[in-house]
Amino acid sequence: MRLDRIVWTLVCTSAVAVMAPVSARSYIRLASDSNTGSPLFRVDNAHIKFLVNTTIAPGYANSDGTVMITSGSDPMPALAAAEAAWANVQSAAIGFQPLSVTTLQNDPNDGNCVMTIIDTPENRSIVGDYLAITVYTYSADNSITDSDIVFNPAIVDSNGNSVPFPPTKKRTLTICVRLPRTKSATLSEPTTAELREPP
Amino acid sequence: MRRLAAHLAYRQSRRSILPAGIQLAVTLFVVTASAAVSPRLSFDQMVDRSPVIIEARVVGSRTAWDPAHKYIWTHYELQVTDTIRGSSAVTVVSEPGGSLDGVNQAFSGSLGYSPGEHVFLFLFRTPLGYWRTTGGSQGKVMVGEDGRIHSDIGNPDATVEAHLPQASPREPIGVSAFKSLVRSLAQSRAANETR
Repeated sequence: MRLDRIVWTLVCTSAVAVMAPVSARSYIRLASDSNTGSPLFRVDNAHIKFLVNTTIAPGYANSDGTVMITSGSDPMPALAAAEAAWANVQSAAIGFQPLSVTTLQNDPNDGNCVMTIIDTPENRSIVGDYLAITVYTYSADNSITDSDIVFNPAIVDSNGNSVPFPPTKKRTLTICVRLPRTKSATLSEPTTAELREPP
Repeated sequence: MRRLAAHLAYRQSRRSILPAGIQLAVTLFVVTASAAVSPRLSFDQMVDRSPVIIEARVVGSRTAWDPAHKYIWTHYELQVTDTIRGSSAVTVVSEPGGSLDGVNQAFSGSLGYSPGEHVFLFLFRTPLGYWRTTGGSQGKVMVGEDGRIHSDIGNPDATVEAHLPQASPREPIGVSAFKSLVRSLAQSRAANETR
């Protein structure tokens, strides 16, 4: 897959799905102890509030001066669509509050769920080569107390060329999820949403 | 050597296919092993983007805060058995996440390592100075007890040779053949160390 075709991927995670045990191919089961321990859960599953940092905006440039979100992009509707897709999953007891813009940054200890693409050495380090990651903090009882989504502020292709977030008006948002048909367990499910060319 | 020669000969004749086969095998690891998404890198790209490539065994781990005392990192100590590219001084691979001081942090896509694991690691240096695997889990190639290359997801079918094109020699890739292949490619291509 050419990186310049990937365009962008939004990883909206944070423990938004409530699901039953299913095949390992369908889920990444968030749990303590490297996903082999007790399942993690969140108490705000019915009204999860995500804040979108002001860096996630058309024309955003990283610290190298490279535009990472093209000027024609409209990321807020894309993010809202990702949430809506989850909220509309019948078998998932998930609800979201409307997105709002914030100047808060990713902080694993502030209890705020923030999406950001701010370019710092710290964020480049934790994101690594992923397009985006979710950072979640959980307490001793396995309840998730914080979950931030950090987008890669320096996505490049193999030639070192940046791959910015493209105009969304020409693309559709596809949520790549495979949920179970039952709803009894309390697990956390990362959601992957990709921006793709419409058919 | 006959197997390696066959692989290399095939590679020279169908240069775009063998890397693609390995790419497929390697990238299959990442698709299924991680919640986070990383770009699928070809074998050539993996080598290009990895200034350090080593063969090692995992011997232990420790957790520590980053310099800003914001995120917890788990640092896995390695016994490096061969340095295919770069500095032999790299003896630690790091992943964000862990538990420390009563705080539990986890990161989607973060890789785990177990003591005793025999691995090939394609590494880059993060801005914080930690060494991480290139392309997420694509940069961690495990060696099974059978001496063959396996994925890190415990799928016995996900061996490199299982995904080589049908036209290629359908022989298992062992450690020495894999290492020779990587070394050959690493010697012919310069590493891109920028991130």
